[in-house]
Amino acid sequence: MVLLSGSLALGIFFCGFGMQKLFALNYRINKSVMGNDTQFLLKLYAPLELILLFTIILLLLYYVKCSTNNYEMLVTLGMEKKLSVYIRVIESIFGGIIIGIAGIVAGKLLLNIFVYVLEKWANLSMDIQSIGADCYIKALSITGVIYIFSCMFTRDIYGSFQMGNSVDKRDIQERMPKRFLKVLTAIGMVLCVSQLYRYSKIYNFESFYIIGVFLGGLLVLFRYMSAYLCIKRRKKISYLYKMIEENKMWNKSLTQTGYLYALTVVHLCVLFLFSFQIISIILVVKPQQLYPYDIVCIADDGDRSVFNKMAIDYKVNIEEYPMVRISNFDCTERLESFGEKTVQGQQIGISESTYHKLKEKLDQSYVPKPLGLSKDGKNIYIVHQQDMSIKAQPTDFWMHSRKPLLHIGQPCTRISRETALTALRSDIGYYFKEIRGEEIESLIGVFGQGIKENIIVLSDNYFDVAQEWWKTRNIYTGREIENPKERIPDVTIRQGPTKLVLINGVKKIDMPGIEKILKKYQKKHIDDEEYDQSIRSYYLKDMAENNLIMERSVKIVINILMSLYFFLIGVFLLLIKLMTEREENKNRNRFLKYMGMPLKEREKILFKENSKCIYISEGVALVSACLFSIVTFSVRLYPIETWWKFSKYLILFWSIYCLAYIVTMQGVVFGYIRTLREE
Amino acid sequence: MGIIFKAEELTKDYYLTNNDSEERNEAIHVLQGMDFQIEENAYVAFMGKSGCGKTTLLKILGLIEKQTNGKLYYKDKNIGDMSENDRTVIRRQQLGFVFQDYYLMNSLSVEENIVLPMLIDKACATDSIKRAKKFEEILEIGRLAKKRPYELSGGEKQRVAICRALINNPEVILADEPTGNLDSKTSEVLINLFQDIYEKMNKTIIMVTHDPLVASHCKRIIFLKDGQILEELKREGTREAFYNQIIGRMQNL
Repeated sequence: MVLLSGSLALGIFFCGFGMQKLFALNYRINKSVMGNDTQFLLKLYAPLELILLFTIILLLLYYVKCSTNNYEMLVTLGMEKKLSVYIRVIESIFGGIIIGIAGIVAGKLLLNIFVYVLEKWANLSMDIQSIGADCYIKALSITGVIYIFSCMFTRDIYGSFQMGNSVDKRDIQERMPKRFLKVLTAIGMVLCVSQLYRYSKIYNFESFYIIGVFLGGLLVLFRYMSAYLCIKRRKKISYLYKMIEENKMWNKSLTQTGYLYALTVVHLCVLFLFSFQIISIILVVKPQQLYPYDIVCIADDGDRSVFNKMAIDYKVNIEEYPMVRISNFDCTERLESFGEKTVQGQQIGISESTYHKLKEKLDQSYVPKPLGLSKDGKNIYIVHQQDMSIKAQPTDFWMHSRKPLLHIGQPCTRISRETALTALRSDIGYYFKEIRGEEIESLIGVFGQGIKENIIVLSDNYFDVAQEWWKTRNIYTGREIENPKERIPDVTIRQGPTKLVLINGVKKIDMPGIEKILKKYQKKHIDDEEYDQSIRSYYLKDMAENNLIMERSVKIVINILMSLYFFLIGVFLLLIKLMTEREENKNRNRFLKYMGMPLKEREKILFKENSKCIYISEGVALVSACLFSIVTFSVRLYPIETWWKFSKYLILFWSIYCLAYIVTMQGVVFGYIRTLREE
Repeated sequence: MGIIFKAEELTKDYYLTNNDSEERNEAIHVLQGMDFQIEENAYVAFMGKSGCGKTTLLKILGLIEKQTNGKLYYKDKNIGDMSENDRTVIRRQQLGFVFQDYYLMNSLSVEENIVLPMLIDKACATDSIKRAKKFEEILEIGRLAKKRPYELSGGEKQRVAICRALINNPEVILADEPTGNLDSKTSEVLINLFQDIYEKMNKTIIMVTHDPLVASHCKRIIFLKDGQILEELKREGTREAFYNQIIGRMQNL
């Protein structure tokens, strides 16, 4: 089992790193599929590492307990202690080699399955040969680190519980916390509730770290609340009736809460993280509806002739709307390291009246309502252009502030983070804007999936000011150039895109000709694409649609496979529990038989004990998943009808998963009890 | 005086599993046709060398295991005709066990170990605790009530085991080498305790031992050899004389 768990761990890590590499390569070539979302795979490693660490510690403890007795006997019989140490070292080295080989083989097998499924279902071409040595090194290193930590913990646990002592202390009571239980339980609750609250805020972008802290809170709750309840329960005389049934929770509180917690984490991953992704993709609006225009161009006044030619030659419908480029200071959710430059995002700024017109184009029944934007431009309205399967994210990630730090114009390259920190105190050309309202909608097309090319609506009055803004602002620093003589076009000042051109009615047959025109147009706008290559001067509906379909297919395949995989981890965890407790259960059964307890009752106790582990972990995970789902509905601004639709699918998914797990595990427990009966 | 146990041609076979070859499992005849009876309020010991079938016999008398052949009557009821459930009820309500290795649950406190048989018998928890306290006082282990068995000495553990054996007020106490793990001084204390239980509480005590000193406190001794009854000895004179008699007989074993 130790070798198997090690090989599995290595296999998982190898497969994960391999997938990430393959997606990254694909992204570099296609600039589309799973660009940012490969991080999702790596973030899953946190709970996985936790579970593996716990599993390996348990197995090592079990192994050490068994093997120590054998070695001690050999030493007693006259074997040199040095030799016994030597044999153990050789044993570990061989174990490591076996884990290495078996793990890589398992990893490659898993990776092949993933690639096969992706090729078949997502029509994605991936070259598995392109995985480099770094994947092997990373996977081996991370498994090695987990093993080192496991060995360290095992040594501590072994020492502190005197497990190597000649006296049989198999049933020795594990340390149960006794002080400040109420306070610590309250801290756990506060941690969980506060993280749910944080998760409900769009500026926290459904961060994995929030889920991490929530799981931390849950760990505190499991440990201290269970101790509190156990102690309280034992004070009542009625406890005696269930003393055997509840004995393990009291006696082996650390191990039992460990199992409960690990299983809860596994279930929560499936019931929330994976299921939400799967269902949001199933329910998501069809790609065709997310791109209302065939071509979207971010143009300027000098492009009129291009669009005129296009209209005459190809009889396409062209609409033009005034716009300004708006940059946000930080478009990545990660915290940049010291000396690293912040990557700025680019959005589309339009006036309130343009917004209403665009809304009317989408929905004839739309009735414009004032957005309540101020004339001085201190507040804005945001249209997050993304589909419902994409997590909620703010327009700007700078300092994780509720207010985005925005600049009218293209990104200024000479603005540093230190300068940005002074944005509240001085005029740096970037200003914190208050969000008056926001929505998730594809007004012109989800080309940046909520990270870039979102629509920022300014009041009509302020939009007029914003259009003139470029005339006085330094393109590198964003600051105002006070001396008019220093305002030199294309040297110190630049207008940037001014027109949002929306083209419809493009015939497929005309596409090659139109693309030729657009290529020329793109060359002229090379400067606009220079800062960020994913920001284009034009977007094609067909290309975006294909990419979106592929992205969704990849995501759905990954999430289904991960759900299956985590399901197996859940089964594996409970199997380990049953296996490591086998001797203890056997002895207890014999003891209770001698005391006159009928077979049925003995088996009922065993069944209840293990069923509790299944039901409590699933229950807590379900409640947590339920809360997180509600919070996610709200943070993603889903309309109420979507809530209901989503909930139905979620409940169906949860029911299937929970039922499958319960049936599998109850079957396993039944089988286990039967084998114990025969012994 | 009524008869508690009556055995007729009692046999017990075990089958060894041989994993190394495909040979048929070999039968080991542990008990080979025993006939005896034990009366109410008897103080009986089974003696014999290791492997002669003492513990197996005790397990059969304790209704933990079934005989292979022959008949065993408990108070005139044929054990062979009883269901597993009926046997469990008798074991729970009318028999008390004391083992060589104490057989206490380390994960329970001393008091919890003691009340366990009563709770298994669906007794009221409050009454069980009251009764346990009474026995703890008699056996002088009240101060150990909250401790764990692994924190106790061998003698203390055996007192706890005796206390537990008595808690359900059984008619019969079955003791398997109760002093086997104890030093001579502690053994003596334990033997006196059994004597008190026999005399003051009017219990039937059936003991398995190979210690002649322990056996000399009994009223009757049944010697076993190779799964058969070799002979019986009844105490008629003083304990010292009986002890010498046992020593003499043991040479034949």
